[in-house]
Amino acid sequence: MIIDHPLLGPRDANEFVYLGDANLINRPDWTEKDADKQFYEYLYLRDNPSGYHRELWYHEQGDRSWLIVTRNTSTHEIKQVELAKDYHLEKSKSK
Amino acid sequence: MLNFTLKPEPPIGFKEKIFKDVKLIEETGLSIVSMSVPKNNFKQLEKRIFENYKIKLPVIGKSKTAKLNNSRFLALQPDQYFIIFDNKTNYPIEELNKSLRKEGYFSDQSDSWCIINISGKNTINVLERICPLNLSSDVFTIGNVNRTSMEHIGVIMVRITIDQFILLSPRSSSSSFYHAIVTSIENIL
Amino acid sequence: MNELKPLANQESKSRFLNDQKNRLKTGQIINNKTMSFKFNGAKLNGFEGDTLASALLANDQVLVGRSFKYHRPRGIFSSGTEEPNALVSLGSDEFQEPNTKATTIKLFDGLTAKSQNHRGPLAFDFMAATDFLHPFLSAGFYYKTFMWPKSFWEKLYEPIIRSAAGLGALSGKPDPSSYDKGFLHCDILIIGAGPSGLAAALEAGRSKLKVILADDDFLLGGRLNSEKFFINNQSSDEWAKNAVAEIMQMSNVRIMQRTSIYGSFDHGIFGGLEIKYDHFKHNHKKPRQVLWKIYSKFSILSSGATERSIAFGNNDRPGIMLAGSIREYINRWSVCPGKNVVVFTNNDDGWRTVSDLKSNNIKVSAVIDVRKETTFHDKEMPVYTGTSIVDTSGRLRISSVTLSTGEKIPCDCLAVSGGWNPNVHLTCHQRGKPVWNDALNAFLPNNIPKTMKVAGATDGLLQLGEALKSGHLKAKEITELLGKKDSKSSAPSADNESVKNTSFWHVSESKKRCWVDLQNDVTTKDIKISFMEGFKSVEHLKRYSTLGMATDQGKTSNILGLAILAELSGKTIPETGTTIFRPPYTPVPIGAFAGRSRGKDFRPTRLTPSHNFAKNLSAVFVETGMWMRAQWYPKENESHWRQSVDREVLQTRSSVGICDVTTLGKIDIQGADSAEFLNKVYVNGFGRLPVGKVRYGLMLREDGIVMDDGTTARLDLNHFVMTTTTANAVGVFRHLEFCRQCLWPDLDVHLISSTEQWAQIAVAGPNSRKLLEKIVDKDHDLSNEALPYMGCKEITVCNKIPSRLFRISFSGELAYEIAVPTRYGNSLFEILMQAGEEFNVTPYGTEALGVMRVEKGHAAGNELTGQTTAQNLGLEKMMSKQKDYIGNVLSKRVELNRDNKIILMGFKPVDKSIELLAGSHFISKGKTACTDNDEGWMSSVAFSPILNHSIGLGFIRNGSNRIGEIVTAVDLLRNKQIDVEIVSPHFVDPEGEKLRA
Repeated sequence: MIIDHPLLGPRDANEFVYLGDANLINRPDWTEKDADKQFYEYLYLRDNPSGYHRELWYHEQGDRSWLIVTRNTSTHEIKQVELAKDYHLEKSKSK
Repeated sequence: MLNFTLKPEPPIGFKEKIFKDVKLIEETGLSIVSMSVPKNNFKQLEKRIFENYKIKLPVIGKSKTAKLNNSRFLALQPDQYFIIFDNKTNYPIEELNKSLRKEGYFSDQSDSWCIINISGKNTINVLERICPLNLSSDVFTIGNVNRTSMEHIGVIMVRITIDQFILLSPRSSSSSFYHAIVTSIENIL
Repeated sequence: MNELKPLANQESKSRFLNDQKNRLKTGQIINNKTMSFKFNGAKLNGFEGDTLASALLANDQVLVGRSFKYHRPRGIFSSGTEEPNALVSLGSDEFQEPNTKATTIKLFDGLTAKSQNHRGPLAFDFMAATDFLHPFLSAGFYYKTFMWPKSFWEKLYEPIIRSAAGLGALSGKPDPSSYDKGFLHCDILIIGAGPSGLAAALEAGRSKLKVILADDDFLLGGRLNSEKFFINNQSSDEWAKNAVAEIMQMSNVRIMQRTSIYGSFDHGIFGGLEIKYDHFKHNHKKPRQVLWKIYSKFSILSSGATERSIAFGNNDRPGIMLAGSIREYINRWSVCPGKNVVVFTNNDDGWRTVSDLKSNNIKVSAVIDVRKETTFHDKEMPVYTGTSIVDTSGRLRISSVTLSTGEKIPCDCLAVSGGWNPNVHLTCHQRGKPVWNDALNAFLPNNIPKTMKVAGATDGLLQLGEALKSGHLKAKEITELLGKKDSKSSAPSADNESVKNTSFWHVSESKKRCWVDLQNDVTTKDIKISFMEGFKSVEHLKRYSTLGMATDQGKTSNILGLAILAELSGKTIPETGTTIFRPPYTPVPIGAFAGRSRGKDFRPTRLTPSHNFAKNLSAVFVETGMWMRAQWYPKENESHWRQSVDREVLQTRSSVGICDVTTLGKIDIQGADSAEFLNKVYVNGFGRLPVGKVRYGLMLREDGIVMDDGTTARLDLNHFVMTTTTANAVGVFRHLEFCRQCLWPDLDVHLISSTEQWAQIAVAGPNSRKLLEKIVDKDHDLSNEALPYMGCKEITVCNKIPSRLFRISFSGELAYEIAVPTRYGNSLFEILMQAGEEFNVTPYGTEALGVMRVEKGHAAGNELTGQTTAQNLGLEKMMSKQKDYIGNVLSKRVELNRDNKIILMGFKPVDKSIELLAGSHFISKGKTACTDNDEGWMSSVAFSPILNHSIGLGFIRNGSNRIGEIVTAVDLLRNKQIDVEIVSPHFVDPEGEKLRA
């Protein structure tokens, strides 16, 4: 596969390491009352759909960026690639 | 009492090798320092770089050269650069200007890498046997810098001219990397 | 033709021509260099430009092998990669390569080839008796027959079947040839250099795109070289030659001859196998084949079409060939496989073979067209319409055909044309499903990959004029998509030949066996049996009957097979569907996949800074990941590893030892928020760690399981150096980047690996300080007060060489780790040895390191298995309650905190002379050794030279409350039961007095 890196352009997926559901970015707050339940859901109840999936890829043999790749798991079509850091900062701004 | 002196050793020690029209040089006398940009301090750091080196920092994936100490700045990843420059001392960070050192985080990487300079008209033919990147000169232009994986080794490469690159491979596996390059040369020549 | 050649040359040429019985006297090839080769020991001649198959046929060597199952005599059937029969072993001894297709092997001078799959001479195969057993050997025969008794399978049936069945044999020796891999990038990859491929390449090349034109043949042009067609008023082969010459001049086009594109992968990536050399015996140091990974923005698939056969009685005899292939042998290689040919066809294309035979004055005894009506007529020969062939005869070569009318016609060659199948394979490797076209009676590409375009015969455009136009057009479309200006050139023009065809698959009135798949000996009857036994889907049929398997992957037989299946089930062909097409399109040798990664080059090795020193001392090395580490340093009088290891431990504990620990991961952490960051990734706090101090840190995964441990030193307020275990260095760095970028991107924290930067050497033992004082520059104070346990300092050694000194201990002794820039590492190791001579210093390896850590009760890889918690390690107290950290919440789960959880403890044998076994399980005294009574396991064992007996670390339920209890360590695999006492894991210096000395 080819991942179109937002900073570096198209790169072979061999340079990347896969982690899984991008929701791992949204780590719950440990001080919440039901933190144990939230962490359980955060860690174990990850989505694994057939179709578009937002997932984390790490450019280990490249610029060391963590990326959020929106990939169709049944066709491998990649719709969008973002820097995880940007996404996160964007989200916290909008809060 | 004995006087103990430490002797430096190069990563590989082949110095220079010529195979028909491909030339390999193991570069020594260079230091590599990594420079990280503190949060919200890019402008200040860039100002100091300009004062000292008369250049603007390159964008990611590019490199830029400056006259001072023959320095080359490689923009490797967000907020991190390598500075490669002429230096013979054991304290490369201290060779940088004090005013600059205050504005960023620096780490000596000189001994982390083996620097191989490859040139000659068959350079691309040699590299295409191990390098997955598009080496076409309109894509990988002169001055571009990329890290990739060659023969399972993470390598940083900078294009110097149409048929010359410098290749930074991790020091501990540099002999394996050198072997990979020589194998490629022998396979095509 | 040879007017210009000197006379002597002409004479020898004519002698060669006379030897080659089936070589025509005209054509380009006979002007080429002559070559000699051997087949089954017989010396034969051919011309440069021949394939092995064309040269064999020129020499009238029609019989070339025996079939897979029935050992039936078989001949060359086709002229390309679709060949099911002519599999030969090429070369001899260690160079032997089995199952190569004679139809794709470029002839070279000195080639040797052998036929396969027979015992005794090819013409009289002892195994041919299996042919008489055919009523018993039908589909599923092995599955049904060798069921009983079970024990016979391994000892009797399997060895017999393996030796009787199968194709060619390997030499059994390592392959002496070398292989390589490579990477290529292009705007367009054009697959196939036939009419549409060449038209596309001309247009794309003229439009200045970066083009790769790949073709598996050594002569470009595809069918243009096999036919007598005209393009732009030139003969088709001449046109192809000129087109290739023009393309060769274009610097933006890379022509890759003899490169088979074997697979189409995601996002425009293709796999290609390039054949570099044939004379491999002399060239085996240069890669014989190169496996390319080709990245394309777009691709044009112009891979042409493959002719299929018709199933009729005894249709597998040598001399029966595809009609289109016969044209190729005539037109390209000036070879006619027979003197007396019958043509059997269900379509117009078969008639072109008739006319090419005739124009070369080769006798055509009859044309049999299954269609009642045809536009073709020929008064010079008998033409049978609405007729078919029901049987043939001739043991080693066809001698006659029997028609459905009962008439028998003698012949020595039979041309069969069953219509053409577009080579859709590469459109399907991403699960594209081809669609049936009723007009063509063939499958056409459908839902093809986004960046692929299909041209020419592959797209069902079987006529030359159409094919050329489509190649040109597809290249133009891509040029436009890439935003480039097209060349304004027009498509090459040619007439469109007639290609009418009919759906006729097999001769049902035939009473004899009708072969569908020649390679796997699958007949129409086998398909019927499979169907009757319930294997009704094509995928089941394939697996049960082996239809379409092996080296040709059913290129000539698949459609035939599923048409018959459709007929049996009363379904249409599209309803029946095809099996899934998977890579590789053509076979790829395993050697090519391995490339250069063989033997020691399987993966890179990482060498420690003191590698040369250790090598000079004849150290024994161990691979830990990619690292080569010294395991122990044997002395001359030591014959057993334990002697060396015990000595290294004793010398270190009694005086001083040194060990290269560079392999531990080192991560340089800088930034205003570094301390806060460490607080978040370690269970224990680092915020208040003073500058100049080191702390042990424990890192969990989010699920509460231990990820890694190590020490982290604070060099400055905003500067830390973390160490990781050797094994987890890469994974921890990745994890920290995840935390930094994905979880807490607001923090000012920066990471860079410094593992390679610093050569780090452990100096351990009561004399370690004294040893270091000899090399550290005098202005640095190493006293216990100035550098206490868990202190660190940036110092200089040996006259101003920068160094870092950490007072940390893995061995439990007074110990340090000293780091210098890696270039000085080997020298530092040597100097420590010299300076330490007065203390009887020893280098020690990973084995002694391991013994000392077990003696000290430190957890390592054997304990950090990805299943252990901080609580299991007895490190519960380290887990901060004041702050959040990775693993904080989930480590508090009830199940991980039960009273009877397993805890890391030490274990001593009750009988001190007994050696403990790692992996044994703990059972309470008097209980049965079964899973229900399992209380834990021994994770590490070592012989302690200090205690002079075996010791172990392990996990046992509620261990901390059971000190002094005797349990049994049971090892059912090695059949040992050892009574052990539960003790503290700290066997040596439990109070830590030595550390702080």
